[in-house]
Amino acid sequence: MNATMTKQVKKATLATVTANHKVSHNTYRLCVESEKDLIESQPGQFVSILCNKLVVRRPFSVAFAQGNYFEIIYKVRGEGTKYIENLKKGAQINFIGPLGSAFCIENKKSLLIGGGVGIGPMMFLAQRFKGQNIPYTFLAGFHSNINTGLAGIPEAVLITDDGTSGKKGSIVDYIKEYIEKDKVEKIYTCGPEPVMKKASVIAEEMDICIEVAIERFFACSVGVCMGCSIDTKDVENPETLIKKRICKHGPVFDGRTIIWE
Amino acid sequence: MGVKHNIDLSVNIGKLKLKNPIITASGTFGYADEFEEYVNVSSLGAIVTKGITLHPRKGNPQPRVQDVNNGLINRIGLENMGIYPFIEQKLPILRAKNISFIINIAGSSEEEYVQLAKICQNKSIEAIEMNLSCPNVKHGCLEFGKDPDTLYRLISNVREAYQGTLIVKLTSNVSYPTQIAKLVQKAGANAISAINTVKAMHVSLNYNNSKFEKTTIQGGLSGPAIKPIALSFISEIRPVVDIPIIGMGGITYIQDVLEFLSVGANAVQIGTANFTHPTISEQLVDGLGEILIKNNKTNLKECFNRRK
Repeated sequence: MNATMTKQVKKATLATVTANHKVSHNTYRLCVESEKDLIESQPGQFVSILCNKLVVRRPFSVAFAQGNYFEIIYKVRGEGTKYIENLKKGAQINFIGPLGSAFCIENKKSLLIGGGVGIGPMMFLAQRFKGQNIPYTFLAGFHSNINTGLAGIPEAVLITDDGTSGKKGSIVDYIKEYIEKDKVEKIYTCGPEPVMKKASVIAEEMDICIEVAIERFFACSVGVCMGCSIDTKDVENPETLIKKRICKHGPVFDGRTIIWE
Repeated sequence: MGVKHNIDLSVNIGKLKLKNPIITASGTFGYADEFEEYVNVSSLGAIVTKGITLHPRKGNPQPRVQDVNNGLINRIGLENMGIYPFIEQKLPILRAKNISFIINIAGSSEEEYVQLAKICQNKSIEAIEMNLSCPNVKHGCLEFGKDPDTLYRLISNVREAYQGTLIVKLTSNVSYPTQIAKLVQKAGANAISAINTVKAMHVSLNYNNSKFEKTTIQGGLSGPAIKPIALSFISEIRPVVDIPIIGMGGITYIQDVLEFLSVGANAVQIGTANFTHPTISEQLVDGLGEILIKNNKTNLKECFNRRK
């Protein structure tokens, strides 16, 4: 390495799996110990995991991180996540990260809305809020029955589509109710895009700040391939279209700036 | 490398003198800034910028990328800021770095290519790579790379407008590679880079209401899957041209670099592998040096029994 280099050089890091278990239908929690500390990892950021021989790494929001230990919550969708599902305790993974932007934690009455695997970064955020005594309500939505103990979800209002755990219905049906009940000043959300879109619309209507963490498929994770490019607008000047890359400018954005598909 | 060895990895591409033959491919390395956290960019032979057009382009709607076995299909559609903002915002940053860079230009008409070339000439850009084979834009690019007459006229006109090192990037999606390669050289190009991504499609099927419903993504395939196609293309055109060939297509390991050099490439570009292993380009530079040392050679030419 050149001695004149000033920037810290990031490398792919190895981590050892300490646990990998199912928490709900098709949803899993992977816990690993990395060779290096993820000390700077903040809620909203992600890690990109090399999945066997796949050419493209898979990005996952960090669900918890402390020292060299971190967790992700994932759903088995394709070859990459199938590979992760099959990792046994003691197996090694190769990852880069933490990458991307983090939620801007403010001392405001907060509503955390996590849908499906989107609960990951919300869990991490809830931990931080607890540590800083920031009041919050955590809505966690799933299709079906969830084992909150195994998932490591701190006290949350559970909502399932089929009513098998907690309240029945869609998480979006409860957003307004909790904003009013808990006098919410800021919303943080991660989950399916229709949920984040709906939350953003409500936030705009009720004039509340909202931050969304968008999870999509990337190719590079470092801001060069333009594979994750999305359309955003300036809140002050909504006519101007601004191209942003989820992996570089995000994944956390002001929800009101996103032009949802 | 700890001990100083008297090894020479340098290679000349036209007027460009590169310190080594490892170049990062267009669209996979941004404008080098993005990779500085991963790679000492000044260790590389050169970087090729993302394809730049005359006017800004928004690119294609999502989805834009899809991985397949040993490869990646992309249909980005040349999203970029356009040449003028590039010159204003990115060129000074690139020039401040201790690197050789090649500007990848893409036009949607002959006039646009010539205009882009003139702008590069005026700005004293040392090297340009003409993207004649982007499979993801409706007009231009791929078509220019396929038709011999249009190709010859186009390159000749760009040559006239631009005195720096002119590299022409070719597609393997042609019937007569040798004919195309000869024309590129005849028209005055200083080097050929090959191959661009290969036109490909991914299909995913869903069984719904007793029928298969398909969702498709069509674009350019890159990655290890196209390496054999690239090696074959380069070995086919090598005998018919004297200008340098910059080989690319799925290069991931040092063995791949050596294979491309062995079939006649003078330098190589690293593309998709930058996504899989962000530090790979610098590792390959080191790896090439180590191979020379291990085999007691002082330069690359000694390693291959090659005429060109």
